[in-house]
Amino acid sequence: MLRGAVLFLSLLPALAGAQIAVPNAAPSAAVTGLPDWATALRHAVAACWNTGALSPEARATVVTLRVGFDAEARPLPDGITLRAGAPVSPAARETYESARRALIRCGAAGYPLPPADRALWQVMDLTFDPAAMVLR
Amino acid sequence: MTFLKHIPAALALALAALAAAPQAMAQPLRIVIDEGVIEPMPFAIPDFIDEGGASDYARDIARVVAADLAGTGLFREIPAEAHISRVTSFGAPIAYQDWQAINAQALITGAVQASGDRIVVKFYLFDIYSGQPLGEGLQFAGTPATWRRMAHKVADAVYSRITGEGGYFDSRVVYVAESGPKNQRQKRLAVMDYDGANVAYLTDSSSIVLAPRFSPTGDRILFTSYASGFPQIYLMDVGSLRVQSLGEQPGTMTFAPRFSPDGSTVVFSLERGGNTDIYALSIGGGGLRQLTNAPSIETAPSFSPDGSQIVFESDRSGSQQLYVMPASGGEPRRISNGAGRYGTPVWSPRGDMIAFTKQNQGRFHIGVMRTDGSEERLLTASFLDEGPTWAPNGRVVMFTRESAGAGGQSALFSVDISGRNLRQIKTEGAASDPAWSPLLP
Repeated sequence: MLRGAVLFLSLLPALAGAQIAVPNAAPSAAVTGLPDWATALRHAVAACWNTGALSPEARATVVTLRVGFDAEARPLPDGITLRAGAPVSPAARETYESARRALIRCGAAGYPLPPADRALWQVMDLTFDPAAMVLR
Repeated sequence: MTFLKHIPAALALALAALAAAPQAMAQPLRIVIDEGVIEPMPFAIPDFIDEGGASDYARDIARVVAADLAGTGLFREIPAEAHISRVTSFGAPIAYQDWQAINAQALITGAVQASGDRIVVKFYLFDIYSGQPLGEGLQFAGTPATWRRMAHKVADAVYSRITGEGGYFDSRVVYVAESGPKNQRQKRLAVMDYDGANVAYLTDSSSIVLAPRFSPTGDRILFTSYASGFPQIYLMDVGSLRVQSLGEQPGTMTFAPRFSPDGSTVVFSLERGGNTDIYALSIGGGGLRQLTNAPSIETAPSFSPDGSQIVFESDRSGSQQLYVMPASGGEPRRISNGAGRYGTPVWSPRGDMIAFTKQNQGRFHIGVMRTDGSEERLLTASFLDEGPTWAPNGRVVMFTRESAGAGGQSALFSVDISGRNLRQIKTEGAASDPAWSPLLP
C-alpha cells in the first residue's frame, strides 16, 4: 500500500505538466478538456482493462505507458513502453502488463481516432490509475 | 463483470493542467484511464504434451493447474471444446489469433516426461494479446508420488506472474478431522493439500485434539491434546510423527500454542489457579517466561511476522477484545473497538493485517483489520464461523464453519480477503481448526 501511495503522489507533478501536443495543424482539442476522440479512446480502453487478477499492491500502483499507433489507429505492440525509472517494481510490472493487454485486445481492429488528428494520437501517454477506482 | 467508476480527482487535476498548459509543446497527449472492469481472467490450458510414458500425468497435471487457478476466483478456464488451435508439441509456435478468437488472455502449455521413478514437468505461459511469452519457461522434476505438488508449483508460478504476488497452491493444511455424533465427537489430527487432496492422519482418535499449528518450516506441528485428561500442548515431528509434551507444569492446563516466526519459541496460554495468562517457552531449552499478568483470561497469542509483537485476545475490559503487546511482554494496547466480541486473532504473513473471529448480535464473522485496529472488514457471516488461518501469500483466509442444529457439522471454508470467492474445502468428513503451512520448499 505504501508503495502505491508513493507512486500516486509522484504522479501529481507529472499530471501538472500534462500537455496536448499541438504541432502545426489547428487541433480539435479544446484546451479546457480532452477532445471527443480521446474521451472515446479512454472509454474503449477502460472497457478492456481487467484489473481482477491484480494483487492489492498492483491495484494501488499507477503506471504510464507511452503508446505508438499505426495509421489504422492500432497500438503497435513494440511501441508500448512503460514510462518509469528503474527498477520497476513487480506491482508496476503487473499493472503495466494488464494495461498493455487491454490496449492491444480492444485495439486489434483500430480505435476510432480521426485521421486528421493523427499528429496528436500517433504517440500518446496513457496513465492507468487503478488506485482511483471504486466499485460502482 | 463488475464495472468500476473513477474518483474524478485525478482526472480533474489532469484537465486543470491541460487548461493551463501552454500550446505548441511537443509532449504527447496524456490520457488518464481510471475506469476498468473486474472479472476473472480467461485462460486456456490444453492437456500437457506427453513426451514419453506420461499420458495420465499430462492430463491430470493440467487439470490440477486449471483447478488451482480457477479456484482463486481470479481466473476463468476456457473449456477445451472451445479451443480452435491444438498444441501438438511443446515448442510449437503459438497461433495467437486462434486463442484471441476465443478470448483467451493467457495460455499455458506444458509437457511431461516420465521415466522410472522420475517425472519432469515443464511449461510456458503466454500473454495472448501481447503475442509473447510471459516470463521464461520453467521445469520441475520429482517422483511420480509428487505429481500434484508439481502441478501446484506450475500454478503458483502462473499465478505469481500474472498477479504479481506469491502463490499458495503448493502448501498443506493441518486440521482436526471429526467423526461421530456431536455429543460424542471423535477428533484426530490430519494433514492435506490446500485443496483437500492427499489426506494423511497424524493421530488416532483415542484422545481429543485441538488447534494444530505448523512450524514456520512446516516440519513440526504444535497442538493441544486431552491425552492426560486435561489440555496440554504437544510438539509433533511431521516426518516421524514423534510427539513430545511442552511446558508441562503440575496443576496447570496449557493450550492455544503458536510458534514464533523463527521457530525457536512457543507462546501459549497457561491456566493456573483459575487464571489464564500468556507464556513463552524456548523449544531448545530454557525457562518459562510469563508475558501477561492479569486476573482476566489472556489467550490465542499470535506473533507478527517480524517477531517483534504479539496479538492476543483478552476479556480484561469485560468482554473479549484484541490486544497487541511487545513480544517480550509489556503493556498491551487494545486494537478492537467495534461492537461485539473478538477472538482468535492471527497476524498475516505480510504483516499488514490481522484476521479474527467476531461475534455480534448472535452471528459469527471472520474479519480482517489493520494491525492498529483500523479498516475492520467482515468477510463472512453465519451461525458459527471461527478460527481463521492465512494462506502463505496473505490473500486468502481459511476457517471453520459449523452448521446449526443437533446434526450440525463442521467444515472448512476459504475466502479471499476482499470477501469474494467463499468456497468450501472438500474433506472426507467433518473438519475444523485448520492451520495453513508455509509454501513448501
